Amino acid sequence: MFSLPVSVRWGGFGLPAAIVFEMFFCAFGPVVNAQMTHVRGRVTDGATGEALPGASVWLVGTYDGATTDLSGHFAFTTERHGVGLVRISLAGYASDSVLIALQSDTVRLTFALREATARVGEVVITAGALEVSDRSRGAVLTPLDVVTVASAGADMYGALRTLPGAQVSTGDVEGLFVRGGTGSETQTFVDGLLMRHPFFASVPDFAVRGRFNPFLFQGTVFSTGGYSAQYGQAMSAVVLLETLDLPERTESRLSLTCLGASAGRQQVWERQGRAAGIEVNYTHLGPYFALVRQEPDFAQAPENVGGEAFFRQKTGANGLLKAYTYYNFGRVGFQSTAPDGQAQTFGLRNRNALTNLTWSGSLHKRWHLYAGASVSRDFSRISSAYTTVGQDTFSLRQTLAQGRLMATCALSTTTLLRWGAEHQAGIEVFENERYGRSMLPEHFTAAFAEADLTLGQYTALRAGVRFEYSALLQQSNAAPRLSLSHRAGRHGQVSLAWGHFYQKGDSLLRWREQWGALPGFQRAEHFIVQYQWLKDGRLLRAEAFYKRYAHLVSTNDGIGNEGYGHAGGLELFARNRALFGALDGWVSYSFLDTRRRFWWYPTAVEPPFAARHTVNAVARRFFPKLQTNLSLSYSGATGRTYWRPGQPAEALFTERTPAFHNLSISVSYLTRIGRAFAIAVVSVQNVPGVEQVFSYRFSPDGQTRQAITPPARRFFFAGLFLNWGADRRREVLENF
Amino acid sequence: MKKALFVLLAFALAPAVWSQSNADTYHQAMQKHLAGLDTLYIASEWVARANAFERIAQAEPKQWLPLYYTALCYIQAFNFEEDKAQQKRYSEQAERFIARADAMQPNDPEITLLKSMAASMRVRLNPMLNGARYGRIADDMLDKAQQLNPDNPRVYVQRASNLYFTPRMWGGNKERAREMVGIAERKFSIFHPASDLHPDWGRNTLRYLRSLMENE
Repeated sequence: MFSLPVSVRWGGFGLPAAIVFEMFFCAFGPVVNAQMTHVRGRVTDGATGEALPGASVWLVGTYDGATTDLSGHFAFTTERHGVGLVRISLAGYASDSVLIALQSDTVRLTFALREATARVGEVVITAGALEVSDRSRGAVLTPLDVVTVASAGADMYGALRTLPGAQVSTGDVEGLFVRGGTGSETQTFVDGLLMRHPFFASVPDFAVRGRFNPFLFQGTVFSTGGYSAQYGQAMSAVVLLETLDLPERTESRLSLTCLGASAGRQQVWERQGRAAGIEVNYTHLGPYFALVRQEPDFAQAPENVGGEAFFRQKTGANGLLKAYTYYNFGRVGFQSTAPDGQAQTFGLRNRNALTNLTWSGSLHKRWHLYAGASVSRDFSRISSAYTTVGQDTFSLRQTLAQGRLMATCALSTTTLLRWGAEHQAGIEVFENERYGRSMLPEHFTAAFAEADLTLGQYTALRAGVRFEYSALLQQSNAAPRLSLSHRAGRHGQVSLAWGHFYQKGDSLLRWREQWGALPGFQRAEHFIVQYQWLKDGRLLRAEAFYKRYAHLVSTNDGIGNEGYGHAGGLELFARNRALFGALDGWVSYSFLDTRRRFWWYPTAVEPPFAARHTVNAVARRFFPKLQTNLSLSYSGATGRTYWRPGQPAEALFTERTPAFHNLSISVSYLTRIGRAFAIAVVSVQNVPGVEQVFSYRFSPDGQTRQAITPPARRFFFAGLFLNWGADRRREVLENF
Repeated sequence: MKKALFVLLAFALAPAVWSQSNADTYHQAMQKHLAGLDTLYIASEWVARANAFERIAQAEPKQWLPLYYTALCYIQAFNFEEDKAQQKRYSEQAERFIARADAMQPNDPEITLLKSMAASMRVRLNPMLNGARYGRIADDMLDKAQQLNPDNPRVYVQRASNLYFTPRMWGGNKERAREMVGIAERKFSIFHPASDLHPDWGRNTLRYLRSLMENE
């Protein structure tokens, strides 16, 4: 057989030489000749050597070609003469081409295809990040998973708690406690903008839920460390939420649950590339609390009224303007008995308003621009009374305005550059009858630059740096970040990440007047090693991390940055994503070893928000005949340390609560009610009714203790979610 | 100079000659692969046909029918495939080719019908995740296809099959399915495709539905 002096072979798509050649062929084609050339051969998987059936092999620019059989063989004939380009394509694999001479004999070809995922640019930086998405193949959860996890109760943060790295037994305080960090070390960003109040207003000894409706988002990344230089002011973790682009349909929604109701409507103007929607909701836990007895006694059961609205407008070919606004008013009040037997009351009223505006789009093929602005206000008024102390009222008013700009530029197919800046202007006014008033005006500026580089075929590197300046602290910092991913084998990937993460001292800053000073930035340094294996919806990952804390806010000897600490651990995650009708679910295990000295702690102790071992298992199955989805989840954690007054320094935080267990079940049934698509959901948290102790509170002398538990053993939820599409089903059928 | 002129002329004429000889070959190739399309029962055979139509499509960038048939073959491959991962691949391929055909021939009743079928495939892949959204797209596209050409018998075949196979609580209705089969049969008796290459499939499915109904 004649072979060309240069055997030109192109792998992958879009190499310029191949395109030019193809254009040439499409225009002229090889010359026709009565004599036949036979092209035959075999196609295999380059990694395993297995035969690949169903692949298409053809002579470019002609109809001549064939499909490989079960043993990977193909054969076709062509009457063309001269030089031809044979191309092969199979879904899921990178296509391949080869130039051959067509001269009335038999040409034998073999192709060993690479999986398309091994293509350049497909190495995704994964260290630390856990993605929730419909679209990404590396995603660990889909948005639907979030709402169907039995233990989550349709709270996004509840679902994120079943992922490795997060604490599950911190049911006495809101927030995500990640890898030995406090809840405030995790920040939430919506479309790149910092959300100061992602949770409902804090209530002592209760974990409140996240504010946001999980259906608003098309993608969520939960990064438990080593994240991009785009994000700052989070020492432990970030939750990155991406709101939906243009919704597909005009529709109306109604949900009725045992806690309240909500109704919404969204309209899509397809031709104008525009959409708008509004949703109002009202929840009152009074009726539920009347049925299921709660401890303590709620004088004012949690009540919330609010609404949200959005607007989307396409601009140009691929620009999109997004506006979102949210308002909520909530109140709650209860009476309880303190460990020393005295009565105490607590009352809270909170108003929260938020408006976000973002635009993103391409200016040019290689340039992508993002601009965002947001204004938020939060007002909380808390009154508490304790028999011996009397009534005490304080209020906290927080206003934040922020702007953010970011540009992304593809310098080449292997280099992506990203840079931007953000500015936050905010003021916090804290008022208390006894301590007076303190004001914290802040102007915070940050700038960042980051490069994504593809080094060869299997390696990707991300290097970035972030600068921050706080006018309030009169301090600046520079945080370098690095991460590296390398494909190991067909389905494996090894990733490394390192970086510095700075954060201000949160609520302690409020006491500036009392301390007469302000603590500076705190710092965490992350080291992460990860191995991930992904094949056909099955994902395994193991991650080891070490985190070093420095300059933590301490108050032992006046306020300062004398604190320090460390956290190290190992996390495992395995998930099986069954397409449909099969068992689907995930398990995660986290080991955490951490000690820190901060706040008032006299020495480095094991902090009370860090269980050493945490386990989660979530299993779901959809039964097509019954149109029913059954979901079970179990979360378990070893005991947390707690503080008891009157202990000597060396014994502090050495006692532990009993282990925590939570088994939850959720059943959802899909049906139609009239013209509405309906989902009915019933779920129970802590089915066996195990006593769950989060921590203890003590009388001042340390002699009497009270367990901090959920307000009821079990939590029951029942809801009906209805969804109507407008102008749908004109019932053409009725016309016949 | 003469030589240069000759080369220029050769270049100018070549495409004309090429496409002329093509009109016949195109027709023949299409006919060859359309033959017996209604009688395939194995997913891999449908994939082979899809590949064949795809080859014609790449050689004939101005024709939308090869793209249409590529998509149709992937839809059928989906129907005869049991492996979910493969089904997902076929569904993605079908959507790809539908989008390409649609870009060339916007608002075509036959392509619109394929859009409806593709959305139904999504629903079948994952009713939990896709049921609400794609179920509606499937309905809307079917309505639109009917609006674009009320005499297209395939619209009624699809309606009949939807009504027949959908569980009752989801809007399935065997009585209405039977009516649809009747309408489809009437429409077929007066249906004439625009050319022998234009869509003319569906009679087999209709016969199959009729036989299921009669055996009940």
